[in-house]
Amino acid sequence: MGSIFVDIWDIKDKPLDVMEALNFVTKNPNGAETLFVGTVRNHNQGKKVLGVSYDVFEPLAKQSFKDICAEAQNKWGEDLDIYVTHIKGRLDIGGISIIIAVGSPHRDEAFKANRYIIEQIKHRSSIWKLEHYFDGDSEWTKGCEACTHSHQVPEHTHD
Amino acid sequence: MKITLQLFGAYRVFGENLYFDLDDGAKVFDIRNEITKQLKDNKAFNEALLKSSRFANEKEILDEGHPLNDGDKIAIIPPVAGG
Repeated sequence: MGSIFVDIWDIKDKPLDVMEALNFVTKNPNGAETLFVGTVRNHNQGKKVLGVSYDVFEPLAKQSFKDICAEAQNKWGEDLDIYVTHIKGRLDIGGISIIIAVGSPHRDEAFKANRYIIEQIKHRSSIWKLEHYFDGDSEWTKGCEACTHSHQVPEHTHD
Repeated sequence: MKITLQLFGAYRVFGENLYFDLDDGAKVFDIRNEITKQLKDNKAFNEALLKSSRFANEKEILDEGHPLNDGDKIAIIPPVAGG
């Protein structure tokens, strides 16, 4: 049985840690580790972005991470090791907002599970982005309506 | 019954929480009417956003017919945008 670690970190306490994620899923039975790192880019919908503030309803977000990771294990193997952390608070351009690491005996499962987890988090987890622009304006980004049951791979994806 | 609604995302403009006093037997969908009552005169109120928002406790998104209990703390979940 693989291990699952999920958490929300406040940027005021510490930034997300890529090496911690990779170390968590690097184990002797695993021959493949995939790493997804989400960062703040300097533009969105034609606007120059200065930074992004992440608002999170933590207990529900963490529960959704656990549910999604368990679904990934059901689909691609109970032996998957999975690490997910998401940031809370304000990040500048290049700041890391999410890290997903998956360790598996084989690469196909590691890639597929990682992709599934990020897409499901974007559609289901109680997290919101407030974008800050160069002109001093700020705007909550348009998101996905949360579903009560959403265990299918969504038909659309997000940037 | 007393209900606390925790606000997130675009609803942060209205503060941290809203407080409602609902009749016994109230269900999740009754919260929608109360939000409209409290916020309809506020310029930042967006009816379309409310329609596309859901309600949740700490474990799950709740069905609209989910019964409420005195002292419940419910979160409003506008469309999500994590990652």
